[in-house]
Amino acid sequence: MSANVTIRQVAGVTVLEVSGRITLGEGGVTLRDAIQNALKSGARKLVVDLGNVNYMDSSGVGELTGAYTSAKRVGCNLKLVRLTRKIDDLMQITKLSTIFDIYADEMEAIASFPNSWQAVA
Amino acid sequence: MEVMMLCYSDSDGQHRIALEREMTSIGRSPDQDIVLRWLGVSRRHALILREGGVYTVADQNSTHGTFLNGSRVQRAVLKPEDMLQLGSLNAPHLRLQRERPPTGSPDSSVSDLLSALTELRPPGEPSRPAREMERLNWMIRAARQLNEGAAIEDILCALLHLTLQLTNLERGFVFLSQGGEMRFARGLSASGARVDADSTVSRRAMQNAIDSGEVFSVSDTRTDDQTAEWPSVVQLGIRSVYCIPLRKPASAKEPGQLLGLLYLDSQIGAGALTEVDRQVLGAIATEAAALVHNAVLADEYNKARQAREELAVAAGIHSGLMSISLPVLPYAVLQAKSVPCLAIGGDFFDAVALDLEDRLYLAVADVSGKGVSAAIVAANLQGIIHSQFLAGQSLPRIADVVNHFLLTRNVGKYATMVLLKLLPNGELEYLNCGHILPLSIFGTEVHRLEHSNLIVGLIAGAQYTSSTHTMRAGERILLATDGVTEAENSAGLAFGEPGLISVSHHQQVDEIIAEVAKFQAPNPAQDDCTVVELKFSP
Repeated sequence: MSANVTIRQVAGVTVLEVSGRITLGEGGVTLRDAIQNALKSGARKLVVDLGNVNYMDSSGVGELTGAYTSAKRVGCNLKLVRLTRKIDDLMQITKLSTIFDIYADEMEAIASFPNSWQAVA
Repeated sequence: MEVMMLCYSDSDGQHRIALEREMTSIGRSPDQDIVLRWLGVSRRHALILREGGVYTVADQNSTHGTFLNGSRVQRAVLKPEDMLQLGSLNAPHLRLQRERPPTGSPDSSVSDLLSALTELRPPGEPSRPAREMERLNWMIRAARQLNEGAAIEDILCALLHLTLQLTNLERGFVFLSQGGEMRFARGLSASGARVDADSTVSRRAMQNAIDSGEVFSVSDTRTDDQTAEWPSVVQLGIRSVYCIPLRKPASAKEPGQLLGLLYLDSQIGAGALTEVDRQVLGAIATEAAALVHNAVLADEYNKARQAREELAVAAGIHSGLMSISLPVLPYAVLQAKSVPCLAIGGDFFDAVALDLEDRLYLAVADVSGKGVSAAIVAANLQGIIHSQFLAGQSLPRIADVVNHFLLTRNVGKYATMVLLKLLPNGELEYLNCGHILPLSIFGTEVHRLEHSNLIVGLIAGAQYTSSTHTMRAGERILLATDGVTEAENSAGLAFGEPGLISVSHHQQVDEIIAEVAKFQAPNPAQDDCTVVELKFSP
């Protein structure tokens, strides 16, 4: 498989850890399915961690765009964390960085959700 | 000692009576051994006498006579395959046959059966016309009729028609195996009327035939212990039923395959089929199965070919729409090349000069996705942008219109694009919507045009703003789509913006495209590649 997604729940937030290659084909579909499943199972706070994505091209951007619209449609708050340099460049060129909430790490993202509660230390 | 059978058909179906007694009486009267109530049959019409192995027919002073093989007789010896008629030469045939044990399986092919039939003649005897030839003729006509049907419809129609004729049953259905299920394909009644899908068939009989892979037949459910109790038989009043699997014969490469089922039934008892009839039925079914299989394959091949042809036509139209003749201007030189990775793609460019002295509009765009869906949206956007250029609309306004169009159409597609407007004095206005930054090349200097906006087709009400740049004489603006920057070589490295900068010195756009192809080789392109160059040369 070209991409892998693991799911975790932290303080009421669904975290999707994505690794591998997100391109047209398997990788893109893996990401799309993971997000769709999370939304279907009622996730309303979603964080997508792209730190271990070693390659993403414009079709990956397409998937994130799709994820954005799907999340918005069901009233889910979607945030991105740990963008690699390349992905960040891509997001800058397409100006998607202006519409997505992007954070450097997971904790920051989780804390930024309204009505979030702090994990017990 | 061999017993002969008297075979005939009437409104009750087919009959096959063993002439075991010394004397078998035939007539209209109920006290006769064989009661026939046809026109012209006297109350006591004739006797069939048996002495040892010799049979004789004796007319009993009937009013209208007894006929043997077409000639009126008073008393005559009977031989196998002889044909009797009572009352007139138009009367139904009563055939005399040997009681033969079943030979072979119902799956004999047509030619095997034909040769088997010719072997039925006892050695030394001259061939008899009568039944053998008649069946032979019928077989040949049947095979011819089946083979004439090129389309599946015709084959199934012929199959139903022939088998109903052969078995004397009331109605027939053909089911074809589709996706593991038997789906109704065609229905016919003995009267020739078409019958639509009918739920009043015995599914159990069908299942029996499917499970065993053999013919399942009951000529008279009343006398068959097994089927007499079946709910479908009782409820629907089925008296006779035949289910014949239609099987594609096994070949050296593949095992045989169940293609469908021929189902025939009747509420009126049809009587038992003769062994010859059974074999003929089996042969017809096998022949039909092979033809259906061929027709199905031909059908699939045609559909695939049609789909390919339609795509080729669409690609042709698309490339026609996309063939932009670049305007020739006194102050600018344009070059452009677009190479779709599939036959048809989502990249496009367009150039419109409003007036030779007025201004030049240029657009380069990339619709998300690939293939036909991207191409359709691309053609649409190209049309919109083209007409907006002709109307002299402002660049931000055009971006708004395109954004709105994509959002309201709800096709789930977005696009990146760059719009440019060049005036004869070198003033360039540009609006970039999420697209790869255009490069400005002047001598050895290469810079990016930095200002950019969101992609179009994502956010309603997004704000788009343009920026300006002044071109110097000889300066070139190079625009590309991400098929160029994302082209990968065998090591998995992308061409990238550095790659684009490195080839920007080429004076010909074709050369740039060639460099990208060389970089990618031998891998095929993964995305549409478009390169457009605008040179300011007053």
